[in-house]
Amino acid sequence: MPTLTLPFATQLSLTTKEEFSPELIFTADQSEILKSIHRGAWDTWEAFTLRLRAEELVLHRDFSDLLILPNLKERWEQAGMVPYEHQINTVKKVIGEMRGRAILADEVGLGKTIEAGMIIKEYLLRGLVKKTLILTPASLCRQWAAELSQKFALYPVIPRHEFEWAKYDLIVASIDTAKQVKHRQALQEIYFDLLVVDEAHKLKNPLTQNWQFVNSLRKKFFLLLTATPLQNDLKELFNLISLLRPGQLGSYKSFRHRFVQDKRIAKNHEELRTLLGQVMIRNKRGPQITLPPRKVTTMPLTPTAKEMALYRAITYFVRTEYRKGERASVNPLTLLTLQREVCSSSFAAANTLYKLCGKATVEKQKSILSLLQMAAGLKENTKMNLVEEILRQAPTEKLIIFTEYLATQEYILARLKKKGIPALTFDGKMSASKKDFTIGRFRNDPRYPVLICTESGGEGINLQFCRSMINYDLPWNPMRLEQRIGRIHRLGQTRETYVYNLVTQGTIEERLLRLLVEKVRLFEVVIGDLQRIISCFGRATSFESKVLKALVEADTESELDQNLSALGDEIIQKMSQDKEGSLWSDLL
Amino acid sequence: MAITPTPQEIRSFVLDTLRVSGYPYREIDEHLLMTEVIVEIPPLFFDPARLEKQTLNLVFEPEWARKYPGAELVTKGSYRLGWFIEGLKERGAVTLQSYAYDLIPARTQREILKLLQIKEANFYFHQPCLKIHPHLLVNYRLSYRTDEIEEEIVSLGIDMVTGEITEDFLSTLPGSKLTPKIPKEKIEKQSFPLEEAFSRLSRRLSELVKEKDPSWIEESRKRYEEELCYLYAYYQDEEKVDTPEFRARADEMYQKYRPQVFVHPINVGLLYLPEVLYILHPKSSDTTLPPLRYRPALSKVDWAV
Repeated sequence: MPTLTLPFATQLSLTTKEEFSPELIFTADQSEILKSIHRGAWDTWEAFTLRLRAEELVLHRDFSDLLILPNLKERWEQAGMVPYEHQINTVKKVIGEMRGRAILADEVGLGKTIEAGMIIKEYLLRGLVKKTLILTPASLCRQWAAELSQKFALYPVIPRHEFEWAKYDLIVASIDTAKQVKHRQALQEIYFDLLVVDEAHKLKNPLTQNWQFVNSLRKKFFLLLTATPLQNDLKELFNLISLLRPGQLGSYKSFRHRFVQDKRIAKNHEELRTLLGQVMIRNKRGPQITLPPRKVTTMPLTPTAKEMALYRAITYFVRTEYRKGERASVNPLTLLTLQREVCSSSFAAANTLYKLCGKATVEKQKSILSLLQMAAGLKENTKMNLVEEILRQAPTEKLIIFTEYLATQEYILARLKKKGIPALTFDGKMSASKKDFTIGRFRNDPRYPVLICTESGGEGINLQFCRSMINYDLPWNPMRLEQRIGRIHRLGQTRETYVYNLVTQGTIEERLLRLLVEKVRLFEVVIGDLQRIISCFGRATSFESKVLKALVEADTESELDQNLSALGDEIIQKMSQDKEGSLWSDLL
Repeated sequence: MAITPTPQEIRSFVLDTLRVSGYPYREIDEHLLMTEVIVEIPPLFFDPARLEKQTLNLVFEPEWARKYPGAELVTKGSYRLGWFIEGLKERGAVTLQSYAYDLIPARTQREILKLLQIKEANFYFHQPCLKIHPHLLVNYRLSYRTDEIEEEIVSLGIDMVTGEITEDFLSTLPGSKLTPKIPKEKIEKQSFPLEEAFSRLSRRLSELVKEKDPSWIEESRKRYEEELCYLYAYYQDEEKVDTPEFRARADEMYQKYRPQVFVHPINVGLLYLPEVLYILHPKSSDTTLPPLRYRPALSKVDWAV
């Protein structure tokens, strides 16, 4: 590296001619050539000149045409994959204009992984990249490896030992494994030609180990993948961009001065958007990028008297405890969970009640125990009856049932088994290989028409071969609902998709869905707008807390309706404020 | 060859590859080529790897791929072209050739006058002398690499007797007159060993790289300096300029943008080429002329000073 004479005025030359004198590097051993001559391994003149013509055919001369398109044509045809125009343009822009450092920030389901795979392959074919590291959440390592091998004929290694980092050229690893001290040291020794970090929205705080670790890796080209480059405030955006290209937005002091009006409201939009556009590509659904239509149907259910009684009793318990504030013996988060669980199934709620019972005081135990007895005694489940009906009407169609809770998942599985319907389960605790196996079996084995998936298990998986989904319970965070739907309604889906939301009448779930569908028009807004809605409430859990607060602060149903309506008004108001001044509306 | 090879160039390359490899083929029409090749089924499926015959139907333009369903389209970057190219990796690495030349004075003199572009010479040809000079021909692939890459092929030949280096050597050689044998007589003793010949060619390569239009370096330097300014802007407020972290980032950038030329020798030829030396007698007695050197294989005439 040259000695730096750093500028106080940028017009000064920063480098000397010597530092930029080309260095000649001979890639072949001369003695090997001499050996061939001495061995007399002569070939014909025709073969000699043909060899040269072969070399001419693969010379790298310009960036105007992508080599991957002819190179992978056959493989993509076999896999039924068609590269979309926006993906091709993204690859060209990253390699050409952005010089290989970019944030790929497409909306969910538009193929960020495919774009990254195309960029990796293109660089490899051009001979500009050899040593490549892909960092992902642990749950996505194998999916990345499978996508790269199936779609790009690239065969990465998922290392387990320190020596493997240097040994292999194409590596997919979990960021949590890579940052462990023993691995980190080995990785910091390597100069990577290309570093890719998936789910990069987790790299927004420079004080975190993840940010510091990624920052410490030496890399030539660098891709960050995230559908949510902006979540909470402008500083996070600054940190993400600065990780990619330090100085793109200046120092934090100058950034704050030039672009920050309030931590969530930007100023000098035009200039900031230009700067972001130099390092970030965000493709959105629109006239150019369309997906087959999706039909979202709300299925209202009338609960049995016992189900309603349990719901009311638990809601009363939650409300009473919550109102105690700091004097409450139960943590507010547990109360939130319990309230959501009773909307899912009595079995899910029974689990939490059982745990609470063990921790509670003798006095409190009595009331919890009575709730537990109610939950445990409840053998019917109206939602499941409807699921069986849906399955009876389309027995061969592949169907995914999403629930937030393992207990509900187990119950659904047991009920289906009883009916003679084979089903598969998928959850976050499964090993990576079991996850692969399960998805493969669901996809290919016609004997298994149903996959029962929990929230954590479903993160990041691609199930576009299937087009129907049941939301057995509703996540209170609409972003998560959208992510569930995004598993089937994404690029590659060729058919109309069907989403059934099961809601029990008279519950908070019904009111929440009504609020989101009728007032906020959840299923009509695009993802970017949806992010905007959620971001209005800060972190994701805050929205859920707001819903719980609306519930517990109401004494009557009409009060609850008023509270939720006020929450809806708040969302709409913030959305319109956002349109006027914040980042979300026009920066991305 | 143009930057993007034409379908005709690719077809011609595939045909020549089949011919050199000895595979049967049939040109069904001017668009469709049918051939039977041996492919290796990888050891993943059979250990040891198994060889199998496979019939390939090849077309070279997209519209003909549509007209001949099932035919494979062979274009730049396609799997099949890569397969043919890969198959040639074991071929044509070294060759030994000599240029067949019979010294018939009248014909040789005509050739020389033609090259000198004169109709009537002011000298008489006298005492021709034919010698064979061993030459080393090396074809290199040069990759000019910064954050971008551009490549070219450079062909250099060195006369192992005189040490003279000829650029663009291969294109001057008429392949039709080359035969794969060492001439029996008149071979001049080489003045230096092959190792030295390689070194001299390497030095010439360095000179050629220095003489090349430097815009590729300047542009990369500009990009690097721009990155340094960005880095500086980021780190100056944090008072982290000149810290190990800053230096590491700057070094990362330098590694990305610094110019490097990767030199890869593609193949090497040992060539025996004739040289005719003529003593000249001037028509007028007041002038003296040095001997004339004629190298038929390179179509070159010069004074052997």
